[in-house]
Amino acid sequence: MLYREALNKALDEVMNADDTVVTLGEDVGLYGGSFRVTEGLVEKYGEKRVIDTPIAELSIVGNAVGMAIGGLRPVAEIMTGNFSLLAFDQIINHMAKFRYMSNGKITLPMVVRFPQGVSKQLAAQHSESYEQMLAAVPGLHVLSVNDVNYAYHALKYAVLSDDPVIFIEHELLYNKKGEVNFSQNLDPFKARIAKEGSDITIVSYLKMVDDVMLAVPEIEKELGCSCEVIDLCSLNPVDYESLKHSIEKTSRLVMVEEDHKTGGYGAQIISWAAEEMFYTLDAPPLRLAGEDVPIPYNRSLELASIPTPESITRDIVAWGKKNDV
Amino acid sequence: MILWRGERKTMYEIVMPQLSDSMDEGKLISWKVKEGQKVSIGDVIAEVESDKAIMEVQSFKDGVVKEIRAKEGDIVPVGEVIAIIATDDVSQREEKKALNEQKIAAQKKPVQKLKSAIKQEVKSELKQQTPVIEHVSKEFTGGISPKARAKAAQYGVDIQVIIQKTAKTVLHVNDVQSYLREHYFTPKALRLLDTYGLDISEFSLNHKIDATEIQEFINKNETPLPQVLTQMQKAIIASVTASAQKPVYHLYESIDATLFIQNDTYSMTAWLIKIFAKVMMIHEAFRSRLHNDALIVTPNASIAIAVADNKNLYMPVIKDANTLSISEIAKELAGFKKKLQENAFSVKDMQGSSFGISNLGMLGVERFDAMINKEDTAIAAIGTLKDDKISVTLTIDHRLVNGYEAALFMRDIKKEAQNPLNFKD
Repeated sequence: MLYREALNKALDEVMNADDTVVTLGEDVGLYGGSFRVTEGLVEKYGEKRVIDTPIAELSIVGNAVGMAIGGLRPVAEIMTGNFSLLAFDQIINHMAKFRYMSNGKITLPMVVRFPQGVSKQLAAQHSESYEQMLAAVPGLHVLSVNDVNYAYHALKYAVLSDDPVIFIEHELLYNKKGEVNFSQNLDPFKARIAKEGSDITIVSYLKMVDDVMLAVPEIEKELGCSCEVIDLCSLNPVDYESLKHSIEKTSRLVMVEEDHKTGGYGAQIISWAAEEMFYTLDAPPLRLAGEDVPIPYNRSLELASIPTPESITRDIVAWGKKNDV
Repeated sequence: MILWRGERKTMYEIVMPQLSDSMDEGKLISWKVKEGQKVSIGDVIAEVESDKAIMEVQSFKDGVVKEIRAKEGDIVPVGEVIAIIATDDVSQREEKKALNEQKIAAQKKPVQKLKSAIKQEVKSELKQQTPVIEHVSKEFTGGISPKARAKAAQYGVDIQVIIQKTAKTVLHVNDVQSYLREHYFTPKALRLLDTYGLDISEFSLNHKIDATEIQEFINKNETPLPQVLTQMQKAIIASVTASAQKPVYHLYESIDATLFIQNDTYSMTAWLIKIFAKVMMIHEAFRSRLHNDALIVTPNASIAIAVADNKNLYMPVIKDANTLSISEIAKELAGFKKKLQENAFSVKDMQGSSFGISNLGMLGVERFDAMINKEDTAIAAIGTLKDDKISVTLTIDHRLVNGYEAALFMRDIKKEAQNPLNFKD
């Protein structure tokens, strides 16, 4: 099953089981979604539950907030992360705060789906990542799954949860293949150990987990060590327990992320480690992130602006050699 | 600093060891080596008397005794060098090579030669004035990993002492660990420690711990000796684990053993192989095995036989058993027994089967079920003789053979066991 098919299946199942679940966004209906995540849903559930909206992100999220207040479970799709900036007032001031401001009288059982990240030559205005801003907003849960099985379970959980959830997807993950274990009882807030190891903890999320996994065999060969790869899955709240457990074992931490390095999400993980895990660290933590530049259109420059399996291997090996791995 | 490092690398100093907390000097009782003599790790260099006992001083490195500094009978303060061992000829050569290169480069650029000559003079003067170690520890500030610092603190070791012992620019926890190991344990003690997989935290580090003390610890705690798995044991574990994944079911039957008892020239196992091979020729499914997503059907019946002693279990294969006479089968079984004793089985001996037989009857086991061997389809577990009958438990891979087919197979086995024609050779 593909990643996008797992999301589609999750949506289909919850819409089938619960009449209050609706989905809305640009081209989610007749067109089936820009990334085909909502394919086939309008035929099954009709235009009242699968709603094509105008190109107006503020109103998409604003309507979803209204629907949620009124008792529905809306799943809003923002076509590309960059466009969500128009909806940030609704996301931050309304979606994240109503429950708090109403002293819990209003709940917002809603999800905003967020395709984002460096795809292939979509240029600076269609390639950015905003998890660092969204994870910084109290009141929102931010999920960002890499694995196909997790995609299915986490989206189902997000829709059925009474809390507002930002569900971040990476545009290059949609065609990723994987198995889904439908009967599993999975906690989407628990980090996934993508690979067990004993010498270096490499933490990542979304597409970068796959790039790290591609780099690991060469890193292990070059350094003669074993790497543990952790897929965070949830960016807020963070499963620090799993990270702690891993770092206690390895004493070394590497964070790999695609967003810009300055103010990027991984800084949170590294600063947590410096505060909480200082005496267990045997090497300075390493953080690999995107360059502080607008994402270039030129393919070579585009790849040079973010971590790739090659650069991840090169940087971790150089760091490892310097730090007694 | 580079010079200092070079020295440390090639010259290994043996110092008067601190053998107890209260010891601050020791008497050199006797030398066990002479200058120019070769030594290797663990060799006893000298005997030293502390305030409590006479102990051996051992070498932690391979090399040649270059200099002996203390005479027998001397009282030497703890930490003072008593002998020097040249450990590494290669790095000496490299040093020479580097010097040569420097010379050549200097000849090309006469001005620089002057500068570097002055620099070196200043350096060597500095070196004479200030103790080298202090110089290094100053450069070191900050280059200690938090974990290394915490570990040193845990054992109450002054981190500066470790810095002096190593010639690294950054100190990691491994450096502290090796310092603790070398400082508090004799080489023989370390070997014992590693063989038994013991951690140094098991011991209170306030004196030099020797092999006798470790052995006492092992005896007292009844520490088990970890056995490293052989390649063969690893292979067996892997194949049994894979076998446990198979979707299997069992068929519990008994077969009439009257004819087996009457024809006891050959073993029960030999007769069973003959009969199973014959019936396998009628049922193609039992001659098939799964290999890389393909079904392989062999034209002849090859049967793997469980052969074991206290230590190992092997499944050597009697190839094309249906074409062999009972005496030939018996001969192959005898060959297996010999190979088991001589530990001479090869991978080739274990290949090509589609069915297995495991017989524990001779050990008095009434009934048991066995695990299917590697890619085989099924295995028959044979129990002991009781009321002229023996129990047979078939374990079958459901992906390859269904219950109906297995029942027919078992019916034919029972029939053939009662057929006197089969017991003629």
